[in-house]
Amino acid sequence: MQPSAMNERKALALLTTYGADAKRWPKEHKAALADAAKRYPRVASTLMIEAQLDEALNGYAVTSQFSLDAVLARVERVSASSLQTETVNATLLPKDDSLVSVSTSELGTLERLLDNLLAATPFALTRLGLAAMVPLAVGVWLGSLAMPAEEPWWEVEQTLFAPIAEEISHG
Amino acid sequence: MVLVAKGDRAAFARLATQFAPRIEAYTTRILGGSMAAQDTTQEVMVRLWLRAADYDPSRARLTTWLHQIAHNLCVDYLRSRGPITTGEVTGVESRTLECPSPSVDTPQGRHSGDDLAAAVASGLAGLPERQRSALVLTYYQDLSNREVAEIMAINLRALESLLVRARKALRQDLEQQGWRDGDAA
Repeated sequence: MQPSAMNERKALALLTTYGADAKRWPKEHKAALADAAKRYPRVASTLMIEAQLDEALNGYAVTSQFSLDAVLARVERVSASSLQTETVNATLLPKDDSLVSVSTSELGTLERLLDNLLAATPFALTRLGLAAMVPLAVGVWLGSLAMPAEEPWWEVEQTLFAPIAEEISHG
Repeated sequence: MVLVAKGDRAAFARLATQFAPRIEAYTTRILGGSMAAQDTTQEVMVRLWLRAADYDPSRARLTTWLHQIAHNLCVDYLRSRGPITTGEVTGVESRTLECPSPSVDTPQGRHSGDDLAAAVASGLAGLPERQRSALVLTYYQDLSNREVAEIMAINLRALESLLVRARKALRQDLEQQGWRDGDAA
């Protein structure tokens, strides 16, 4: 099959892109590019220059230092690490329903008291209100113990309100 | 890959032995002969082990998939630490110093094969990352242009543009290093 003609500019563009090695040229242009190299002296000289660069590139070989043992050891480490993470996630991190099933040893005294008084009450607001009332009640109780009334309460009140009562009675 | 995805370590070892040297050749040419190249290659193999189930053979060859992982890791590495210096590129320079090539006295009298390889390594290291990746992937890794474009997430025209600029810049760099047309022969 006769290759379709390729102009000089297109041939130069392909050579400076893919180099001089025909096996690297795009399949659809191989025949036309080889033909252009015969027809155009500038394409032929560019082919030579690119061939020298290709040869320089071919001379840069690298030696592999790959070690399968090192890779397998790394995979082991990563696998162990991911397994450890999964275990930690499964055992220590809270689950959605774990807030109502925390062991009693992790609770404070007040929480334990509430738990005993209101076993697993579903109403969180009620529990909060009661939790606030317990220390208040304890405080009142302690206050009554620490400051015992030295005289009956009604006498104190009569003393306090006497001037007002007197003002009212005098009009 | 199906076996690897199921956790078959023997199958993984076979694949790693088959593909790792080629991936290492790529990372070495992109990152230089530093520990980073070996480390990146190992990381690619670890990703192969961990993400084997993600591989879809209908979308790409396994080698393309692995090169894509390697390319992304190399780009991440280079962006995190900046460009490599010519002193870091491969062991070619030190090998030249330790073991001079027997063909030192070329007709031009200036370049041995190792010298030229070191010059190419240095020239590649001096290229912008995208030009270097395009040239190394197409020239050394036995991938089609379409595959390279896919790996680099660019279109074919952009790839060709990168290749033209890379070859031109590399030739100029080699000339600045004292290499001239004909020295390679």
